[in-house]
Parts: sequence; structure tokens; C-alpha cells
Amino acid sequence: MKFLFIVIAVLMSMQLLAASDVIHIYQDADISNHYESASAIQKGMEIALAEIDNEIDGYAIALKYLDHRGNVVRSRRNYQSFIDDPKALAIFSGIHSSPLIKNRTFINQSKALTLVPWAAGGPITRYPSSDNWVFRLSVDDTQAASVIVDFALKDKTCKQPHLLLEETPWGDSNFVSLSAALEQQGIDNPAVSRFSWGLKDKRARALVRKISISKADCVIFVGNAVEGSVIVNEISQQPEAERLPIISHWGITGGNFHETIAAEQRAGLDLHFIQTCFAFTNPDQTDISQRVFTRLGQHTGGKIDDPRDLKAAAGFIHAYDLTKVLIQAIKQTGLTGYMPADRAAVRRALENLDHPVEGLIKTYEAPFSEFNEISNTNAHEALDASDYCMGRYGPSGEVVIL
Amino acid sequence: MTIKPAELANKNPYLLRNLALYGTCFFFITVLLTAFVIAPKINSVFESQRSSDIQIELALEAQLFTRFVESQHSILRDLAGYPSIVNSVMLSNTNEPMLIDLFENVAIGGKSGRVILQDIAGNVLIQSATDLQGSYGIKQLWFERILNADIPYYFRLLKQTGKQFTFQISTPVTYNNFVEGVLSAEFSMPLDQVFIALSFGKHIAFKLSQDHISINTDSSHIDIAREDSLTLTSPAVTFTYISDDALVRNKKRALRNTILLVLLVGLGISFLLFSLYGYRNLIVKHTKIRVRPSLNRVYLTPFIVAVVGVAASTTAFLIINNLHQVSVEEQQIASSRAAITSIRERISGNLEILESTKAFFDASDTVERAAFKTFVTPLLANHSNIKAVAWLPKVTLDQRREYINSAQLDGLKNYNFRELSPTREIVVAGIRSAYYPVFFAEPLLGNETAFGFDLASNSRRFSALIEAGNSGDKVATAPINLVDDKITGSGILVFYPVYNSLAQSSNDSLASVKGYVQLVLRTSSLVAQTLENTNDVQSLYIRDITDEDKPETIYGTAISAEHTVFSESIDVAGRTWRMDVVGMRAEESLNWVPWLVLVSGLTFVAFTTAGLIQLIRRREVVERLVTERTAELRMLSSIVANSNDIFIVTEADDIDAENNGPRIIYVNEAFTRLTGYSYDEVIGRSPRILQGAKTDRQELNRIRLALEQGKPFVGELLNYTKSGKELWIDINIAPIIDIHGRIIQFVAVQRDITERRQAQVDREKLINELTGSNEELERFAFVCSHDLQEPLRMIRSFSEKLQLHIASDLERDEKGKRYFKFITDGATRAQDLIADILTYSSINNDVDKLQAINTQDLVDNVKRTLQEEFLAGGMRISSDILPTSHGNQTQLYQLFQNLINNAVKYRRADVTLKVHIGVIDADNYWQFSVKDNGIGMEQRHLGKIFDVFQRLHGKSQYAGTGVGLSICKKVVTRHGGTLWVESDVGVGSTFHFTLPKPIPIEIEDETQRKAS
Repeated sequence: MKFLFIVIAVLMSMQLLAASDVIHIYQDADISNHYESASAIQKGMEIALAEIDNEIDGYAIALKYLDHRGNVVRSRRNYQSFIDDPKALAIFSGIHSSPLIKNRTFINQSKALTLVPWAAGGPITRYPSSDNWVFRLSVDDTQAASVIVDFALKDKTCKQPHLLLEETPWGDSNFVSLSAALEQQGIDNPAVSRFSWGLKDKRARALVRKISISKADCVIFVGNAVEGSVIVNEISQQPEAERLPIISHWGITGGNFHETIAAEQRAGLDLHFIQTCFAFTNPDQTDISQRVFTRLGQHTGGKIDDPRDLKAAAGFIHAYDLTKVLIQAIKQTGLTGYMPADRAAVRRALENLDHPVEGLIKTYEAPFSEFNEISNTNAHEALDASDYCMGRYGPSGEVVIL
Repeated sequence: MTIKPAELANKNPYLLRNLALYGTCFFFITVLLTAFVIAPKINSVFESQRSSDIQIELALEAQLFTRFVESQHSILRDLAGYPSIVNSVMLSNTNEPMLIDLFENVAIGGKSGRVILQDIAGNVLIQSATDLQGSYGIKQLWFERILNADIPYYFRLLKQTGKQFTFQISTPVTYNNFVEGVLSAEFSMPLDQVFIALSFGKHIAFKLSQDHISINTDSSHIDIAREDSLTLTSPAVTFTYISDDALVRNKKRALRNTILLVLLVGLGISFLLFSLYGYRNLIVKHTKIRVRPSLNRVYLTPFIVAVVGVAASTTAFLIINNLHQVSVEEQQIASSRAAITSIRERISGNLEILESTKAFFDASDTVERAAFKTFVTPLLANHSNIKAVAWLPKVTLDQRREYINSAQLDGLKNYNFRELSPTREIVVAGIRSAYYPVFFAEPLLGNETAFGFDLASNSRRFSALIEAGNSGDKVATAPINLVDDKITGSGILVFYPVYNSLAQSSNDSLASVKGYVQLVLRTSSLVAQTLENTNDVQSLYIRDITDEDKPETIYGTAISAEHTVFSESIDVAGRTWRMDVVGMRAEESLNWVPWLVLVSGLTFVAFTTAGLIQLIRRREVVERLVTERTAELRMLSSIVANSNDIFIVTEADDIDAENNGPRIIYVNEAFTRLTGYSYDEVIGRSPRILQGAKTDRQELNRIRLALEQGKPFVGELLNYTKSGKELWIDINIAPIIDIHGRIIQFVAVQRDITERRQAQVDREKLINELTGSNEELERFAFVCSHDLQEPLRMIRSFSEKLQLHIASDLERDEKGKRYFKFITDGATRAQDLIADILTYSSINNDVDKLQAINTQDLVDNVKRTLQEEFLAGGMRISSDILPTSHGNQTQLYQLFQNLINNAVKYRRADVTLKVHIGVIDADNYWQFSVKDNGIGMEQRHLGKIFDVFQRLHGKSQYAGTGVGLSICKKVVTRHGGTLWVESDVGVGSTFHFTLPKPIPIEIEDETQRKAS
């Protein structure tokens, strides 16, 4: 009897302890410079977690958002904070690929369970080890290149595309994948221009002038909203006849591009970018998408009640889906409260998800599997090229999937 | 109408002098005001203006410096905006080729840039040079402040190498206005490109201070540094403007010298003017008689000359003394500079030991104790001021035991890590993460207690260690007391870090410190030894002013700024020492030149003043003489003009001219009155016009002879008036001789003696008549007296015979006897009377028989005649030693006898008669006195006792004829003397009389006579 009482007391106290305990899910993103993308991701996470009342397996879920402002060092520092946090389970990233690529080894060696809802750099998920801790539910450059190139060459009938890539690991990643895709289409050694972060008008003007003088008939752009705004602005300054079509990676949609390049200015441009195929602006909405959007409206206090209000919607969609995958993985493996072990368990669960997860883009049966750099290089990619579509900006700055 | 100065002077001779006096007073007042009011005021204004100028200059220079830094910063900021740099910091890309190209080609400050790019973690992404001086790491506070955008940029002074200085500017690398990295550049620039003096010539220098680092432009040309500082916020440095107080002192001295010079010139001119004025006044003959000025005014000029001269001399002394002081100070400054240079070189020489030892450690992977000793010992041979060279390895807690064991194995049996307890006792060091113990030290002797002492246990030493570790350079501690040293005094410890690898990166250099080479330097003895070889430096005060708010004394005692002749700041292993020098005072360095000038000046002034005074006195004497002579002349002239005597002045020529004779050039009014000639009638003519028929030709010849011989002539001459009337004159002619002894004129004084001449004739006639009458009378008296003697004698004789004849009848006839007695007494008395009258009358006759008379003999003879009286009455006659007199012996005997007899006669019955004959010398006379103690006389009788036949007493009382004293009186009178009496009734009488002394020639004759 006495033993039973003690057991009950222990169980109750554990229950209490569990209920009062908390796990932390982080986001390390460029909140300052690409707020829209970071914010959209946060909202996606929050809506998904709200569906389970921010509690799982007896642990309250607390979100922590860290701002690396695109700086790989700060990102690493943020990761260090995450690693040092005994309650930290997983960390979502943001729009930028570079921090993830530059810190990939550190991340994996630190066993920091990283979920990527946006950054598209090819190498991010391709850490050459089975002990790969980075999972992506987003566009993958290695697969997106062909979609972009196809759109450029076929839809835009571009014969001599000019690659305009940022001087970052992400740019490098795209250079490789786009070059390969163009080569497949018979275009060898495409013209390439690189630019650095912090690009200013003058340099951008020179780049645009250079591209105009060349015989390029379209620009394939890989960059983010900050530099994208500068370059697109310069292109829009060109005479109408000289304005080349822009087929962009989706980096420009991660910030306030739609504001810096206003609708009127955009109207004069032939600008398209890659997206995943689901969008709230799509005419066909499923039950789940409608439910999620409704919750989003509630969550934001009615600020977002029209799909056009949701900027950088891809971030929201991917984060929502990815969070749901994470929830499923946690549910699948349970939590011990000892985060290193839990992170390892969750990672394994992600690679071995045994229940389908119904997301906005699709229902994920087994989105991830164990990575193998030879045989299974896409093991940590939840999406593939079939999930990618081209999009454009609507009049209100919303993303419209073609 | 204008008045010329000369006229003005004539109108008022003192006007110019008064003007000069007022001018001088005005000048003096102006000078005094200048010296005591205006000059200090100018000094004060000068000082105030200078302070104000310096503050303005300081603010301006600081502003220029700020702009300079900002311009350099803007270059760097532009560079930091390069996208590739932004990219690099965002992505933490290291050594990107594009950046390398950029960094290699970037020009900052006109030179290839020494640039370093860091990400927000402080990681160096690229650096264009390997020998950067700054410390670049995340732990640096400035780095954090840049990342947090607390400061727009960071400026840091790094070091100074000669005339170059190196500084670091770090600026944030921003992306989208967020700080994402830090770009730093190190600029090395010549100081003179940055610090350009705008004013004050070259007498300034600049200093920048930041933390413990300071750089300064060349200040060797500054003698006395005055530092004015301004703390700037951006860049955060203390900007110091160093000006030279010696310049101000020199300017002040120049001002003082100028004032003194003006004073000297003014005083000199005044001195000369007054001297000349005084001299001129004294030598110029004034034609007009002036009112004699008061004594004060007479001596005012020399007084002013003296005052002005003394002031001028003193001023000259001050000027030369000032100049001397300048030269002394210049010499002292040179000595001070040499002394400080010597100290600097000595310190530098000692620090070279530290550098050598550090190089030794750098070159060796491991250094054994023996090797250390072998290396260091020879180095110390000639450096007595180095107390120790030590090696302080960085020892972690884990390594502690290992090091202790190692030392003990090396023979230091009691070696342990030690520290000072709060009670100042050496105890075993406590637990801490890292130690810096003294592991090796040379020389061993004297440093035994230092072994094992953990420098990390002492905050002052530890902070220096940390600083050295961070900077990679030598860093000294603030001064410490080397109490365990034999030579007590302050010293410093200097640390030089040794790193683990040669290629130690600039950032986090402290972590790679392997240990420190330590030098213990006896600064006090070093300075003292230097000063021993330096003259002119009285004392030296050295302070460590690295922390300006808390300076610490290294050597000497504080000295006030006004005594400082030289000051300089030097850098000693990262610390700033200020050295103030007190030189020998100018007064202490003997210089005789100013004193010589002063003494010469004063002597000159004394002589000049004395000369003026002498001239004034001579002038006074001359003026007095002139006045006296003038008065005298006027008096004589008046006497001559108004005299009743005739004055004639003739020329000395033509004495022999037969008709003409000497020409008259002057006659007085008496001449015209007595002779009847007018002045004009006689001028130019000869005195011969006055002579006539009865004029004695012989007398005229005598006159001519006297004149020819240049001798005066005295005589009487008969002249004639113009009307031909006889005019007897008493003539006195004297030659007038000029200063060359030549007779130029004759003056003749002639007195009209015509009446006297007539009176003389009349008197001679009367005398002749009287003499005859007297002779008849005397003859009659003599005959009468002589003839009366006979009948009287017959009466007496026959009366006596008759008395004898009838003697028997008379026996009973008393009456008859009495009648006979009456007859004989009467006859006797008549005889006596006649005898006395004869005597009295004979005195006249004998007075010519004068001779030297020994009065002593006379008195003795008289005394002998009175021998009986002595025996009877017991009287005493005494006398002085009586002299020889001149006179008639008989009469003088009569004189003494009468006077002594008189005393005997009128003696008092009840007392012993005392008679004393005294004598005193009264020039040409002997004054005798005959004093008795007799009955004396009433004063009223004294006047008549010398008259003939006067008696004061009845015949019955005292016998006598009443002629005795008359005879005495006549004798004395006939000898040319006087007789008088003093007497008191009942006391006695004293008769005084004078007799002539013997005539010397007669004495001589007498002597010759006696001798023969």
C-alpha cells in the first residue's frame, strides 16, 4: 500500500513536472533584413503548433526566434545558444542558405536538429554523412534549376539566358545546378555575373548595363530581396525595349521586395520566380488549407484575412507543413526531456515517419529517409521538382502561382 | 609777438630749469607707473591673452585633428561599404581573392593599407599585413561597442616610432544598416603631416594620450612645457597642446629689458642733461647779479644727478643681470637637455638587455636555467642599475607542481610560488588559473627572495603584464619601492612578453603568451649616477604621469613651476615620465660683470656728483670772495672818495722826467677841495704842479729815489694850493704792484698837516716855556727845602741844648718840658716833612736812571731794616720769588719800603702781622702785590689815600706825614705802571702795582756786562 502510494506520488509529480516542463523550438533567421520570410515561417510554425495547443507529450512548446540578419557568424552564434539550451529540441532556419551551408559541418557535428522551410541551397541537406541533421521542406536548388531553366527557355523562349547570381554559397550552389540544367538544354557556359551582398545602385546599374550590352535575352536571377530590389529596380529603369525578362529564384519573395518594387513598377517588368505549387491565392483550396488560413486569420487578429495579405507565403506554407512533420516525428518517438537524446530520436523519427502527414502542399507519406551521399542524396528533401511551380507577383504584392 | 627762448630765459632764468624739473618729474612718474603698474598689467594681459590664445589654438588644433581622423575614417568607411567586404563579413569568408586584391590595392593615407577585416566574432577574415600593432579580438571592449553601434568608429593610438605615429581606426561593416563586421586600418603617418602649428611659431608641440599610450611631436625645442589638454569624445583621446613657457618668460624678460632699457636711456639722458646743466651753470659767468638761490635749490641739481645716476646704474645692472640670467638659463637648459638625454639613453641601454633576453627566448624552444644564466650574466656586466633580469613563465594551475619540482631539481630547494599576504608577508601563492612566477633570475645574489614570487598576485604588476601581453611590447610598471634592495629608492619593472609561436596573431595575443622577460631597474640610482656627471642641474624631479590624475614620484621632490628651467616628457616602456629640472640660480653663479657695471656706474655718478658739489662749493667761495672784495672795494672807494686826506694815483712811468713827472690818473674829492684844482685839471698832469718855492728839494729827491727803488716813502712836504697858499702835507707814497711783481702805479696819501704843523710849533714853544718855569720851580722848591732844613735843624738843636741847659729847671716844670717837646717834635716833623717833600720832588729827576733791578734784593733789604720790628712784634714777611724789574733802584726801594712800612704801621695789635709780597706775570709788566692782615680801610677812603698829605688817622694814633703813599704812587706812575689798593676793614689791605719788565736788549747788555 505504502509502495503504491509512493509510486502514485512519483507518477503524479512526474506528470506535474512534465506538464510544467517546456521544450524550445528555435528559429534562426534573418528577421531584420527579410522580415517577411522570417515572420511567415514563424506564423507557419505557430499555426501548426497551435493545432496541438503548443503542447506535446506533456511538454509545453515554447518558440524562440533568433535573428542572424543573414550573417553566418551570428547564425553560428545563435546555433551555439540553441545547442547550449538544454531544452532546445529543433531549430528552424530562414530564407538564407549561406548560414546553413557555411555552418553545415558545425550544425551536423553539434547534432543540431535543423528544419529548413525556405533556404534552397543544394548543399544544405547534403552533408556527406548518414549523421545528417538537416531536413528541408522547400525548394531544392538542385531540383529547381531545371524548372527555372525550362520556364526560361520554353515559356520565355529565352535563347541566351544570363545568370545573375549572388556571390554566396547559395549563388555558388545555383551556379552549379543552373549550369547543369542549361547544359542539358544545350547551353554551355552561360554568361554569368555575380554580385555581393550590400550591392548598391551604381554597381547594379553597371551589371544591368553589361547584361544589356551582351546578347542575353533573359536574366536568371538568384538573390534575395535586398539585392534583388536593387537590381530589378535598375532593370526597370532601362528602356522598355531593353528590359529583359527576369526569371528569378524565389529569394526575392522573402523580404519587402513587393514594397521596394511597387506594383506599378512591377507592371512594367516581366518577372517570374519559382515557388512551390501551393498558394492560398490558388483558386482551388482544400479543406485543410481553408482551415489553416482561417486559423491564420484568427492568429493574426484579423490582420490577414485575404490570401493577398500573406507575404512570403511560401515560408508560411513550408513552415506549417514542416512543423506538422516534426510534430508527427515527436509523437512517433516521444520525449524524455533530455534533449540530446530527444533530438536524436526525433531525427531518426523524421527519417522513418510511419504516419502520413497532411500538409498544405501535399500529404507527406515518408518525406525523409536516411541520407546517403551517393544513393540517396535527396533523402532530406521533403519536396521535389514536381512540387515546384513558377509564380509571379499579384497587384497587391501577393504571390500568384502560374 | 613771439618770445624767443633766450628772451624767455632772460625774463625768467629759472623757467627753463623749472620746465626741466617738471619734465623730469613727469618722466619719473611715467617710468614708475610703467614699471609698477603698466608693466605688471601688460604682463597680466599678456598672460591672459596667451591663455586665451592657447585655448583657442587648442580647440582649433583639436578640431583639425578630429577632422583629420574623421577624414581618415571616411576613407575606411567607404571601403567598408564595398559589397565584397559586406559579403565577406556576412558569410565569414576568409582570404577571398577579390578581397585580397582589394586590400592590396587600397590606399589609405596615401600608402598601401594595413587593413584587417573581422567578422562579428572577431575572426580575422583578411588582413593585408602581418605586423599589425593593434589588438584585434572580440574581447576588446571597443569591438563590442562597434558591434553594438555604440560608437561610430574607434580610434586607437598604437605607437610612435621616431617622427611617425601609428594609429588604428576601426569602422563597422554594415549590411542593411546593421553592423555585421569590423574593418580596421592602421595608419602610419609622419607627425608633422598631422600636427601643423598654426601660430606661436615653432614653440609648440602636440601630444595625444589614450589609455597608457601617448605620442607626441618633437618637443626637444621646448624648454618649459606647458600642457593644455582637451578630452575629445570622438576620437576618444586626450589632445594636448604643449607650448613653451620659456617663450613667454623670454618675452616677459624682453619686455622687462625693454622697459629697463627705456628707463636706462631716459635716465642716462636725464643724467647727462642734468650733469651738463649743472656744470654749465657752475662755469658760466653770470653778468647779472642774481638773487642767491636757497641751499636746497643749489644742491637740487647734484641731488637729481645722483638719484638719476644711481637709478641708471641700477637699471644697467638689472639689464646686464637679466642678460646674464638668460645666458645662464640657456646653459642650464642645454645641461638639462643633456642630462635628460643621458637618462633616456641609459634607460634605453638597460632595456636593450631586456630585448636581447627576449630575443633569446624567442629563438629558443626551451631555455634551461643554466643557459639563461650563461646568456644573461655577461649582459649585466656593465649595467649596475639593473637589479635583476628574470623569466616569468606563464604557469597554469595544472603545471604548478611541475614547475616547482623543476626549480627544486635545479637546486632551489625551497622554491615555491609565493605572494604577498594582506599583512605584507610572503606566503605560498593561493589557487588561481595562471601564475607568472619568477622562475629564472640573474644575478642570484640579492634576488633570492624574489624567486617564486607570482607577479599575478600583485595588481599593479599584473596589469602591466596584461598590457604587455596584449600589446606585444615592453611595458613598465608604475614606480615601485625596491625595499629589499641595498640601495633603497624607487625602481620599475619592465615586462616583455614572449609568445608561443612567432606567427602569433594580433588577436587574443594574451592567450598565446608563453611568459615574460622581466627587468628590474633601479631608476633612482640610475638618475643619481647621471646627475653626478652633470653640472648646472641643481635638482631633478621625475614623475610618472601616465595616469595624469595620479602622478607618482620616481625621483626627487616636487618643485614649483617658477623654478623649473626645463621640463621634458619621455616614454619609458609605455609609460610617460615627466622630468622637471631646477638649474643653478643665476645669483649662485657668480658673475662680476653686472656688479662691475653697477660699481663703475655708481663710482662715475659719485664722481660726477662730487664734482658738481665741488664746483658749487668753489663757486660759493668765489662768490663770497667777490662779494666781500666788492664790499671792501666799495668801502675803500667810499673811504678814498670821502676821505679828508688826499689820494693821488699816478702812473709808474716818467718818474725821472724833469718837468712832467708821473701822470696823475686819479685824485679824490679831498684833493680838489684842499688844492683848489678840479679833477679834470690834474688828470694827466704831474703832482709837481703842487710844489713851489719853499718845497724842500731834498725831500723831493728822497721821494724820487724811493719811487725809483720801488720803496714806499713817508715824510712831510710843503705844497701849494692852486691859489698859492702853503699846504703842509704828511705824505705817504706806496707802489702798486701787479701780479707779475711790476710797479704799475703809485698811490700817494697826503694829509693836510698845516694846522698840526702850526700847533706843533706852538706846543714846542709852550713846552719850552713850561720847562723853564718848572725848572725854576723845582730849583726854588729844592732851594727852599734845603734852606729850610738849616733853620729847623738850628731850632731843634738849640731847643735840645736849651733843654739841657735848663734841665734842672725843667725837672719840675712839666709844662716847660712839654713845651720843649712840642718844639723839638715840631721841628722834627717839619724836617721829616721837608725830607719827604724833597724825596717826592726828586722823583722826577731820577726817573731816567733806569736799570734792571732785582726786586728780591730790594725786599730783603727792607726786611733787614725791620729786623727789630720782627723781634718785637713777631711779624712775618714772606714773598714769592721776586723777579728782576726795570726801574730806578732808589725809587723802587722807596716804593717797597713805604708799602711794607705802611703795613707795619697799620697792623692790628691783637694779631701777628703777616705781610706777603707776591708777583704775577702781566705781559710786559710784573704785577706785584703787598698784602697784609692789618686794620684795613673803608672803601670810601680808597680813592684819596694816594693824595699828598692825606691821612685817615690822627697823628696821635699813627705817626706820619701823609706823603708816603703819594711817593709810592708817583714812583709807580713814573715807571709807567699803575698802583691800586684793595682793602677790607679788619681784614687787611693789598696794594697792587705794576712795573715794567727789563728790556731784553738791556738784559742782554746786562748779561754781557756781567759776563765781561
